[in-house]
Amino acid sequence: MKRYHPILVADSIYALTRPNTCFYGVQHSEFLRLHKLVTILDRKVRADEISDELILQVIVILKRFRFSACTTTLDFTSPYLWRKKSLDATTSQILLCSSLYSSYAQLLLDIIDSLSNLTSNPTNPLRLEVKRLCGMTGVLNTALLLESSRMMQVVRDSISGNVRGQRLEVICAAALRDDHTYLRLLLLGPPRWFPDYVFSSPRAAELNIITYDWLHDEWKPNSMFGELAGVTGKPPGTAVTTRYVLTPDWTRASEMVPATTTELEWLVRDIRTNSVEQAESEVIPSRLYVLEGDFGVFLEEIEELRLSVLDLSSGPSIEKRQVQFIDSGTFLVLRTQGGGDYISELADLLMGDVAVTLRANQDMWKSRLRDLVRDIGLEEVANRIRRTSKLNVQPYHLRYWMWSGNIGPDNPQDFEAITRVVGLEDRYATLLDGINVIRNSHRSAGKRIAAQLRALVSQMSLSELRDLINTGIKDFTLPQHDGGSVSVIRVVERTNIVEPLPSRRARQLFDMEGGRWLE
Amino acid sequence: MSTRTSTSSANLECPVHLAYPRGGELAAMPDWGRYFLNLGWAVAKQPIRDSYVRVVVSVPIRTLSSPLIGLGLVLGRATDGLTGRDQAVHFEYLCNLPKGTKLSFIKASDSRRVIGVSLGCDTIRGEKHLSIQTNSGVTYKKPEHLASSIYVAPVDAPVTGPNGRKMSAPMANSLAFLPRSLYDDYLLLARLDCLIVGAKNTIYSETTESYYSLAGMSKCAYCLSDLLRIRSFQSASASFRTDVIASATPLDKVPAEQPYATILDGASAFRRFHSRHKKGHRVVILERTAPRVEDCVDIIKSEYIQGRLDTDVHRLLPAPPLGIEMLSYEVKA
Repeated sequence: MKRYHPILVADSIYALTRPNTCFYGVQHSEFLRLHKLVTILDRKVRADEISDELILQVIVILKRFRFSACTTTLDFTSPYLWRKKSLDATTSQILLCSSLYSSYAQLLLDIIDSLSNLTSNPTNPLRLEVKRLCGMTGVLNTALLLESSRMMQVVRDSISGNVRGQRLEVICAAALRDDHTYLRLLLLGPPRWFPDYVFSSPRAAELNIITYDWLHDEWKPNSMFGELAGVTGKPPGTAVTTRYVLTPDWTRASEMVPATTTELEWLVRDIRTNSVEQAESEVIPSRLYVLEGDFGVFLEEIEELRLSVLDLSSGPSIEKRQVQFIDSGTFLVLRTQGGGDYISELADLLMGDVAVTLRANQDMWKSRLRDLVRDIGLEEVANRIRRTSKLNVQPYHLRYWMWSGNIGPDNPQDFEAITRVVGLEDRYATLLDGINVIRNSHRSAGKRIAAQLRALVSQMSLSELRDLINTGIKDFTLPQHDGGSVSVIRVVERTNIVEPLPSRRARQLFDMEGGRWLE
Repeated sequence: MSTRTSTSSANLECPVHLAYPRGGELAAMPDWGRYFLNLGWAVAKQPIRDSYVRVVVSVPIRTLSSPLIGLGLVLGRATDGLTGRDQAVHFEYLCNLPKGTKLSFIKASDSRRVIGVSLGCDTIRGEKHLSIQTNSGVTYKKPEHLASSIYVAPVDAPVTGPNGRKMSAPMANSLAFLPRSLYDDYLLLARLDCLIVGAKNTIYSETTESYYSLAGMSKCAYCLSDLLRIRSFQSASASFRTDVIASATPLDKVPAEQPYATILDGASAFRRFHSRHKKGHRVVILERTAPRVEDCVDIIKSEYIQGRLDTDVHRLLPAPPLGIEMLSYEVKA
């Protein structure tokens, strides 16, 4: 991606330290009414400490809709704003709640009425304002910044072809981490809904904030280090305040952000429900990573696990990275068609007929080890190995060796000790040979796939790379392997949610909206 | 608050002026670039006695920050000769040279400088010695305390940077501020003045980009790596002043030497290495756009509140230009 002397690149960013910021407020009376009704319902349900999921779900859906309508240019009836549950299904659920909760009945019926009015006047004024601003000055080197990448594609479709035949780039904040700069950024939503760096490390000379005029927010340049005495230098950025009219209807922007924790908890529950596996399947603690495009993935919490990532720091390259270093902003390489582990599959192809026998042998010693651990515990198995072999085997070694993603111990002495403790010492030599064959095939498979990926990545044009940075997602079809395609997807968030999951579900993408695995 | 003897403003200015091509002409380094050079220079001028300097800079983009701070640092340190601790590093570098490497050393008998080849190391009465054999077949055993007079020969050959690039005239001009003896030391003696932890590939491409000498307007280019003398980017026989390691380097592969100063370039480098290499000065570069940068700031604030000495080190450091914030303090050695 190196195009210019690095000084020129950095200098163009230092020059943007104090951008011009402007606020453009829009109005829609029915949407404001709905917003107020939802706020009243939410406060009332909280005050009454109601825990019934039926009504809580209604509130989550309505708040998610309200937030999405404030952060996109989509019309209020767009199915993309009602992805969790369609508008009709939501209306039915609200009706049901109104019959179950008499004290909320009128409020809920008012919400139904408001939703009905919205469908008759569904144009989102944010889109009109974006079109107006672009029509005034054109879209040369201008981008529309969305709060998340979730609806980037549909927003792009909703505004395409509207602006003097020029294409308005649609991006999310992650695209502003690198050195690309713009003349102007149109931000959909108040400052608080974007990461602080959008304002403190601006990537455009002009920031236009477009939002509903009843949303109150402000951003001031603040020192990254707070009030510490040893700080020198002025904090960067330009102060900005949103809200035109001083009316009693204003709402703080911070109050509008949906509580993602509840949604993530529900999502994990759905995932659990959708993960009914065979009783004997291996379970591994796995961490939830939120990815661009409304995808999610669980990655095994195994320190030794190294996954393929796309590194864009000095030209695109594929490299292996330990799972602990995979964080927001990392581009993960994951298989999106044909299952999770593409290296194993190709390795089996390379091994040919013996693959079945070797895999069966591998399963045999691993399942015996797992059984023993289940019976007497990790610590005791490690103790036994230490007593009999004088090797310094720790429980975490055993956990790693038992894991189906690991081929076997690197050290033959460790493996000999395992075969002894699980009663397979007479087959040690055969099993060890099998491990070596599998390992060599995995290496060959890994090299082949990495080479194919590298070739594909190196052929990416600058505009394709820019597109990847903007959207955070790109699919590749491996030319010499019929196992489907791989996707490069940016991590949005490394969550604190660690779930015991069947190992076959790790590294498998799922849909964050519905909590469904992508098979 | 204790106030250290004020350093003159000249001491805050790195005497090296780099130029880069801009619109067909050579342009001087922008303010932010000069600041990074001067910051490194100023940190190099802080002695390591009772305290270590800690500097944290928050930047809109990290591009070139660590190479420029590193350059200021190694040039600032170049005016100091090798101490006992530094000799150990140079001796270790000599011992690790491939056998057969030509070395220049001083014969004790007549104080003449002669050329020999390295035969590797031996231990004599518990002390490590470097064996050097001359053309005449005589083998000399040199202990660590004589290391500073030994270097890779021949001395008059052009010193090379990464990829065997010859030392150019503008680069030599950049080092003109050094007295002749220290100039030779800078190019020939190995010492770890600066360890940069960060995105190694990126730092490589930044340090191998062309720069020019503004004073001479010469078309002859050189790169930062030529001046930084980065161990991991050059041949094993070249002496070094800097090393660069990746943030994800396994901890057992991290150089054992304690550098004079460590630059942690980026949030991931800081998260992984903030508890290592504590016995030296440290500069941390945090991009405001980096993921989980707030976690790093929390750790820094905690160290600042708990371990900060009551000194005014910020007076000895250059003031940051617009777009950069700097937190500086000292901790007890």
